[in-house]
Amino acid sequence: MGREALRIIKTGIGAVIVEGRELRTPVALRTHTLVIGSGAGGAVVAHGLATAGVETVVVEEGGYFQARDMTQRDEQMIPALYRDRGQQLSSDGMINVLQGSCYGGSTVINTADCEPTPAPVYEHWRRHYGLDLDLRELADAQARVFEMLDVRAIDASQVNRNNAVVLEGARKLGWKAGTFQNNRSHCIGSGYCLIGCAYDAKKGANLNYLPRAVEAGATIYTDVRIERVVAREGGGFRATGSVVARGSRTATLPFEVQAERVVLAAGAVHSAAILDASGFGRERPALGRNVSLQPQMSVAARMPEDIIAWRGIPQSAFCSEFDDHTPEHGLGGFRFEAISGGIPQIAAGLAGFGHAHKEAMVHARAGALALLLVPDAPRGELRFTRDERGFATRIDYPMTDEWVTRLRRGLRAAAQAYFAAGAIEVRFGSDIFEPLRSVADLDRALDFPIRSGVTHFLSAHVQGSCRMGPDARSSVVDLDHQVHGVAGLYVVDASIFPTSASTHTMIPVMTFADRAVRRMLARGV
Amino acid sequence: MAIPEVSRRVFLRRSVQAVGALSLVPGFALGCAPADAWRAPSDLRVLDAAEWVLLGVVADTFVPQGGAFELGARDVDLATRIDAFLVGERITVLRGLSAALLLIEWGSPLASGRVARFSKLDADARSACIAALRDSRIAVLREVYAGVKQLCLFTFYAIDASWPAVGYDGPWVAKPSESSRQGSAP
Repeated sequence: MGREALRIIKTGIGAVIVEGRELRTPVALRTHTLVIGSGAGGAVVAHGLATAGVETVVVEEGGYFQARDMTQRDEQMIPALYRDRGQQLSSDGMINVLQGSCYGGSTVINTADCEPTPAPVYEHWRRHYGLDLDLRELADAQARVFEMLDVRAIDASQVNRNNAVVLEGARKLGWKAGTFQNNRSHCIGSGYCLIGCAYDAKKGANLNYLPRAVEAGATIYTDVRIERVVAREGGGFRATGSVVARGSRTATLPFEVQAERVVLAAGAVHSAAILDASGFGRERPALGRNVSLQPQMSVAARMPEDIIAWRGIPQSAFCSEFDDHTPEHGLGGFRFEAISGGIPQIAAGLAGFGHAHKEAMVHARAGALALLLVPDAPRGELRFTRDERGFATRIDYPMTDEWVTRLRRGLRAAAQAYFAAGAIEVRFGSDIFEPLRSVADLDRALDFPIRSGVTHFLSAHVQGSCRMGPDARSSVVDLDHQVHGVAGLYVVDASIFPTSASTHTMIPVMTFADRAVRRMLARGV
Repeated sequence: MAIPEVSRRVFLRRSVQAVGALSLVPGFALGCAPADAWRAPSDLRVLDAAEWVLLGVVADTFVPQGGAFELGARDVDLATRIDAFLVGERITVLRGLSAALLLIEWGSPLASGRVARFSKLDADARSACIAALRDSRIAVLREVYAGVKQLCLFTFYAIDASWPAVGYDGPWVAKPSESSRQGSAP
């Protein structure tokens, strides 16, 4: 449909959330600021601008879901809430790259852990990437984020047996361990955090920043995918895309926004894809590069007693004995953190098939589960392609020998902790690696094989692709989040981090977003 | 004991490329095969009848009846449930599944030293074929194993009837009626 067929249906209206299925005709809007994406970055920016009186429109490709829509069924909620129905993979097929894709983004489906950026990481960025950040400014931003999210420590009474096993194992070995701060309140421990809270106990951006942005006048469109942003003659931008069908994400109607300012907050994969599709990659060689996936591998122990890992807060405890964060390399070492998912996810990830798999599933109640998190160097790269569902970005991710060595040391350590806590056997995310059955077996972990198809990682913290830095040759955005050389075009999400910002990225993204919006307002743009 | 991981229900494009050449050989496709294709439901949304038949056999290999508990893929018509689950998937994923099924039918017996079609083998031989994919030195065969396995297991254990055997008491929220839902997924 040609542009002439579009009509301006709304301008200057606000305080409303519009779902794509409510739209019947092509849409063209004018606003001051367009925010693309409603996750940790976009929500904070939208709130900050709207409350300052800036006319703001937010578009979100995913759907609008409320607590009553959360069915606690993996087969319904994972396709509904996750990017690419939960099956976004690295190009070698080994790493399942998880991102939220719904109103509130990943804050709706994350573990609600609130982990700020460690001080050595900031120093690393200053020394190696030219980010001379004002730490006082960031601390103030983080304090505002914590207040909005109502961040609090997880109470000991909320630590379920699955998480307690990690603490017990670490304590017996004399290793550092602890419990997270989180953004839950009045949690009843149903255990479905990763597929959306049905009780509004997890305080994602869908429950604070976004509704308050709407109260302040912002308009939010869900089920809308923006695919290109181009500069208009005379200033401002024209963003074009489509209303998409819920589920299939196929285009149904044209959608266009004219804005003075555009803030890309579509996540570390899609913000870069939009910039590339818009032609901004040609003079910015860093676009799509320097991607960190911070891959994680599952560690599963069979315990002598029932664990029932799927009930209670899925992730409240961690072992940080091997954290190695320094100004020289940023995040380093490894850590393991208890976790659980739903029964279908557990079944799909469990090694084997046939009768052996059924036998193992009968013992699922006695399974204690964790993820080994191994911080990485940002060596991944995005290659941009498209299909009937819009962007189909390829994520190329090489593992270095040093990283694999650290991974194997981490697997050994996590297994050691589980045996200290009484485990009968310990498995890793592999279909071919025989489980460890005693402490005497631990060194086999140091030969853990990495083979595509039968070795399984996940990434919940994809970062990079639009790195922040002072130089357009090695970065994409400047220290104010503005794309080098393009006044009024910003990127505010996990894609701007030069290296991994933290072991959990919601708080770093929100902190930088809070800082970014204040800088936008200070500029008076 | 189990491993937490969001399912990799994916059939990589390169698996399509790897086995795509097979489909160029006359008669070398699923469509010429199953005599029991007439049993396929008439309202399949993604799979064709031949794929449905073969997926039923494959699912029966991944989740057989009996053993630790009685329920198996055949008891719940897992192939039909997978067909429904795949609605809305990317075309490349659906093509990949077709290619993966083709590879299992014709390639997995060869990988395990048999000259036969997967769907004509007995249960033990079929298990050996699947194990051969898993243990193969060829990456695409391992990826087919992983993709089909995770699709079958994720979908099977999403069915309420499978939960008593593993001690899962199901969602805490009231199950919504179908009429209250807008579409097949929220």
